[in-house]
Amino acid sequence: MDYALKTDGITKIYGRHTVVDHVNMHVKKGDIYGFIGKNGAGKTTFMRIVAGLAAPAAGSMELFGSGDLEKQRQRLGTLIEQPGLYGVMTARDNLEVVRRSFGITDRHAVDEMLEFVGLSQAGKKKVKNFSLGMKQRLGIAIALFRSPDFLILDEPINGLDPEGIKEVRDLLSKLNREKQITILISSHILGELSKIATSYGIIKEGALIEEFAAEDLKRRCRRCVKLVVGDTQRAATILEEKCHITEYDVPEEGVIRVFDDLGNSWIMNRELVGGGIRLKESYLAGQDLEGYFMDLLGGASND
Amino acid sequence: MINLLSAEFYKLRKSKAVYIGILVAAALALLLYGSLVMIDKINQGEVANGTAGVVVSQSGESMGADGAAKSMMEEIGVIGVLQQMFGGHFVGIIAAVLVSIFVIREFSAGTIKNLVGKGYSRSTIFFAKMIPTLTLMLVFEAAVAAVTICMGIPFMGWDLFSVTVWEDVAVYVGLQFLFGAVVAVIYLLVGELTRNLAAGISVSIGVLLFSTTLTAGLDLVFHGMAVKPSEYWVLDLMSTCPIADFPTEFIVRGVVVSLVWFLIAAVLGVLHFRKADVK
Repeated sequence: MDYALKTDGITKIYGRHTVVDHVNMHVKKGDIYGFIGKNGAGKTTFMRIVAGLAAPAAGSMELFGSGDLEKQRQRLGTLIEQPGLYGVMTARDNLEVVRRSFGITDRHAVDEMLEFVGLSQAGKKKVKNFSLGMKQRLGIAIALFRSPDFLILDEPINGLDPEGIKEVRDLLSKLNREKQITILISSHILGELSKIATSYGIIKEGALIEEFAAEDLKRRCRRCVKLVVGDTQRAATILEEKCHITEYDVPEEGVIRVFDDLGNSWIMNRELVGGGIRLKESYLAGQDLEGYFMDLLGGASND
Repeated sequence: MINLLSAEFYKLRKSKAVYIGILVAAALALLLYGSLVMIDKINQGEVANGTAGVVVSQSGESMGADGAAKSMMEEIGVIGVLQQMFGGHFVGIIAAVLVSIFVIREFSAGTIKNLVGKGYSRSTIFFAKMIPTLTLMLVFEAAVAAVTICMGIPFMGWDLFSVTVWEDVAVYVGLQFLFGAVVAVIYLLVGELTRNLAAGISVSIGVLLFSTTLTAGLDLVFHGMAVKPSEYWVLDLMSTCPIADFPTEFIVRGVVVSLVWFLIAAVLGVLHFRKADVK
């Protein structure tokens, strides 16, 4: 498996507080990896470690399969916390500084990038007078300079209006689709994240508690009729033969999840009871992505 | 490194702070010349003592070659005003603000992340900042020297060019450039350690103004011994630098002490920057 990022036991400790706790993350090349966690869960600190802004207390990592991080980080584009911008300069001057820093000889690169992120009309307006959305866009432009292979974006849609959010979402999808740029992105707006992410990592209290693919998430969140029965094998047979159910699974002994014909759950109940099955529970289950993540992260009780 | 330097010098060119700093220095030079004019007028009885806050408490007069009393303006001359500007820490204070803005805004604005996150080595980034910082200091000092000399013309007339010993001016300004370079690296170190504009400026000015008091205290502690600490602190050398008849011992000591403090500040700065997290 080709990974853009693979970490092994990355840990960061501030004083007596473990902020990042033995994180083993796997970001495949070409993925849009949604990094989810509550405020203070350790997302930003982890991203800062990956970007080389902070040193880990323990653990190791590979970027593009290499341990030569200094060299591989040249392939990164980062936007972590607030975008790093010179407030007294214009957008063009900010990008000119970046162009020179990266040794890009093409002077048109600045204009092209301004056009690309929709800031070509910003003119002589100083960055300190920009809206939050304009600043975010300029931050993304800086992250995109020198054609990175791997983008690390920490809350890139924070402060954007719905239109701006859609623009950034479309931009990231386009970059991923057309330029095969791998993206590690954190966001609190889970609905937006779920529209572009191809895999997810959930961090809670510094520990990465789960990693899974988007398809897996869809399956987990799919609406179903959940049946808690006494005899799983026989119940399954009745569902197939009497109710003509084909889409179901058995996540654990005694539990059947039926995914089709949800409107006729009463028929399933009747046939199961009629077939002598002890039906302990029967209910409609499933939730939206936000609800699923909230459950995983501990729900409102941990807020 | 060359790419980073190109970007740093671009930022330096775009920085209005440098031009404002030169204007402030020019205003200070103007004030110095103005107070010399006032002193002369008070001595000549043309203006009452205490006018505009200028009080002459002792009006000693020097005699010129022709036996005539020399005015304070003639007595002090351009090099004396330069001495006030450099040795009196006017330049050092403005430079503390300029260097702090130039260095610390990278941390406060978060722009340093754009470089560290792109795989540049921390040492390269530090030295790429240090070189323009030194340039900033030297350009500022050169501008202050030029402005101070030029502003003498309206007060002293074209005689300024004939009465000034330019070799002394050149040596004095050259030594101040050397000391200034070290002070700039010390400010850079302070900026790197504090990473906060208010703290950086305060600490830098604090070092500038109070470290010489500390070395004076140390001189008392070491009284009677062969070592005099103030002779080995660059800011003391800056303020005690002679303006004529430069002793070779002072020049050699100045160069060696500057080199040592330059290296200490640069090494400490790069070591800290390599180790510390960037926020």
